[in-house]
Amino acid sequence: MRKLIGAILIILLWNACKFNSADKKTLPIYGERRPVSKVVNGQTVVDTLYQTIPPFKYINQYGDSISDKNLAGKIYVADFFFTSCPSICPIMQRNMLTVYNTFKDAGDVSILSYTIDPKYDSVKVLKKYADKLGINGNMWWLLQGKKDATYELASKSYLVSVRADNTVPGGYVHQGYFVLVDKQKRVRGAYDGTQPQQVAQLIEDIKTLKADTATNN
Amino acid sequence: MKKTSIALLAAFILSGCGDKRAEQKAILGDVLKVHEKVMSDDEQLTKNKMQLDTIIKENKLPRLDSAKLLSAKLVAADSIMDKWMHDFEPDQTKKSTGDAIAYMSAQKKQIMAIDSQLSAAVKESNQYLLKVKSK
Repeated sequence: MRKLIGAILIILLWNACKFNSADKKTLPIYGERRPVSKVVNGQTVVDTLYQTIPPFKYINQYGDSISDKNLAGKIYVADFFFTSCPSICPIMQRNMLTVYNTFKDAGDVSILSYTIDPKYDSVKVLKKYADKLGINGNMWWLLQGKKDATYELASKSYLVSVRADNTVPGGYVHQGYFVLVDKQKRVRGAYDGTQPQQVAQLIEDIKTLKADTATNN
Repeated sequence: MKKTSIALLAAFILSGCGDKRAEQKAILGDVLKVHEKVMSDDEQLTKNKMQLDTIIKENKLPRLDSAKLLSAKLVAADSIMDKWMHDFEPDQTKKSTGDAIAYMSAQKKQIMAIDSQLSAAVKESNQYLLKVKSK
């Protein structure tokens, strides 16, 4: 009887492990990729080089200079907005608050909101906007930089998955996307920031990415 | 009878207010719809302006008058859109319904005019850039 219980227990444990490994979710990696050959322990192996977010330099709502280096070791969500936007931005930022509140104490998750109206959205305006949203600390930065550079960064790097989707009409930057970037600066997802269900999915995917990073690094 | 008349009058006035509020909301919806379209075109505007600025900077073409003129047109359309955005006040709750409708109707006219100006500037620059690239 004892042996039987032991055997059942082993089978149950094995099945549980098997279930978990099959259920483990991995997020896709978007953008261009190319194979690279490298020599490891005297043997040539082929690795994949993925598209990453290129270096950038902006100013945040505190007047501090922020570059890609400040995001080292962080998973982050990027979006594009402007403070005087009367339509989708208030909905987007309200939804982004859910992401902020879920991960504000995580330490390895950040949010970057790039303004596409830098002429008007000065540091002072951005700080006022941040205060109105009720955000503080350094988890969520509202960034101001050159408009041209922001559009370039958005269309060529952050919104690669959206551009690849032929069903999405043009004018991608002002469509309310939340873009998920991993610790290696690769795009792992794009979500409609005006839709609470999609934002809930984003939160789940950040958790997946965090778990994935914890296993792989 | 008197009470019924008052109740009917009140119901009539209230339904009228409801209609006006719905009208105000519908015009606001129209304004935001055009604004979204303009924002989408603004992305193309920014891209075209960057290309024109590169052409002007490189200075390889025999004449740069058209590029300069088109770049200025794009800047003007972008500025007028920016100004509208910063001045526009979607919250009209403090005004009477009549005033709010008048404000929204005027805004609709303005944003439609901006849409036309911006679309024309983008279209003109698209044609120029196509012509220059095909040479």
